[in-house]
Amino acid sequence: MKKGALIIGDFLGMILEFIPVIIVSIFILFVAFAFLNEKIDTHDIEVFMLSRDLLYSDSCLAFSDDYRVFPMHVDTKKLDDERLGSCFSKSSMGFRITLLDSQGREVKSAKSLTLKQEGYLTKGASVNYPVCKAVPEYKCSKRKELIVYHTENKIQSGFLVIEVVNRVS
Amino acid sequence: MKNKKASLEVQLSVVVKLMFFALVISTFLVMANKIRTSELHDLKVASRDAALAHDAVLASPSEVFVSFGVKQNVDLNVDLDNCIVMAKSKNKVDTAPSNFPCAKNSLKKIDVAFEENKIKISGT
Repeated sequence: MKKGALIIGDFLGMILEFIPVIIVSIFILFVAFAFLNEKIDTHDIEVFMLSRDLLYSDSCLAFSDDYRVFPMHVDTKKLDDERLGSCFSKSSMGFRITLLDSQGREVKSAKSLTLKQEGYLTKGASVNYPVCKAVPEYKCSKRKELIVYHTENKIQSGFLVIEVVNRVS
Repeated sequence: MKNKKASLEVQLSVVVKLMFFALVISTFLVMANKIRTSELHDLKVASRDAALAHDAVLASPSEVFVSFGVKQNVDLNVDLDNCIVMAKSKNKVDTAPSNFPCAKNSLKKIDVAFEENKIKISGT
């Protein structure tokens, strides 16, 4: 009985001796882990770049004639999945584009999304992207741009909604 | 005999404690050496910088040329087929490289050239 109590006493003494060392070790590991996995959040600027790419480049959606390109003017003929896929593809990013008229009614829509990305970017959900919010590896966002769009014989004002899913880690 | 056994036990516990302290201190030194320089941060920033500059050139409605400097310790490379910017350290210290994807446009031609500590991106 006495021997057992001695062993327990030794064990407790050892634990007490090691507590400061363990605390310091955990602190070092925590600081090192935070530094080595430091995140540089570029999601917003990447989404901005995507929107400029779509609206400023005639190889994407910008309307052009024989003389010049019209930035922020959307050519509705160019708004299709195939064109989007070839004018902007990024391994970590997928997006859906919806052209709305000035009343907010959908005119045309196109996307460049894999099946997995489509799952994250739920369309018409009451809460914004619930699946995307649940996975910290992905970030989803929506951007609305005031634009002018060209149909066959009309020029109208409207909105371009860009929904983006981006793998951030 | 009993005293000898007890002294052995004490010695063993001292050795175990010393080993544990040595482990903690060496871990601390290794980590401190990695964190000492901001190299990892430099690599991450350089790869992102170049990828975003590439995307900005891509977004331009007309011909554009961009040139900017990178830090001396950073070695930049761009894989235009898969559109990935890779930043590696020029120093001998083993810092993990940083990769960042850029945007691909099969309808537009982008050229990337490197000069001493400079990256030049042009789009037509």
